[in-house]
Amino acid sequence: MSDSGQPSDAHYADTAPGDNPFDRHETGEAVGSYLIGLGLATLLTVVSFFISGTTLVWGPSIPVALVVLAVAQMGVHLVFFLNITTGPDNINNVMALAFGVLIVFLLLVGSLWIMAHLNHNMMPMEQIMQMQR
Amino acid sequence: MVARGAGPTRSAFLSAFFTLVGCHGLHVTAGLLWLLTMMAQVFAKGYRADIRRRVLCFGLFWHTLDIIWVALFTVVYLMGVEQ
Repeated sequence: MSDSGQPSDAHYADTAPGDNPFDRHETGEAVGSYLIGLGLATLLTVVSFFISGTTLVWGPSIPVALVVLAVAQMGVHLVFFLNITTGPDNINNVMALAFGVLIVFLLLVGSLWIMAHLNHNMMPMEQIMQMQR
Repeated sequence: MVARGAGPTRSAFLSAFFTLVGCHGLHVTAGLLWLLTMMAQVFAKGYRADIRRRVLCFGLFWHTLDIIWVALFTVVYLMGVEQ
């Protein structure tokens, strides 16, 4: 381990998500960043609720717009509330987040895939009812 | 909603609605208890290093719950209105 070539303090440079480095930031600056995040999140929520009931945009595009707004708001939450950045001290957090997203994606898409196949292969409901008579 | 015939046995959407919103409500309730615990600990013990770490863990839980809520209300309320 002594001659690995890596700087030995690389692991100690990692910061945890939501970590507030007290010595690097002023408290006022940190509170301001959270307030910006709160404003952006509120704005995105209001826009999604407005767009879900409006007739201003083409109807079939509304779900797409809602998904885009939701993903944008998740991004705002990650950046401003959980303090996920692209800096070198955040690589472990980004990797953990990417792994979590992968697992959730596999669960959701896999479940939908299996359910669609089950639905496709299931006997029509009328025939089941007739067999039970 | 149950009194108006829109209970969880009505449709798959309402089953999902009650399960998702109910589970999220349980998590938020647990989070509020945790929040009160953290406030009491900060009040009683001050900003010690171990207390700060506990507050950090609670913040991680709370903001993650918030992210999940964004997905939940988009699917359950906004897209549920569409149909």
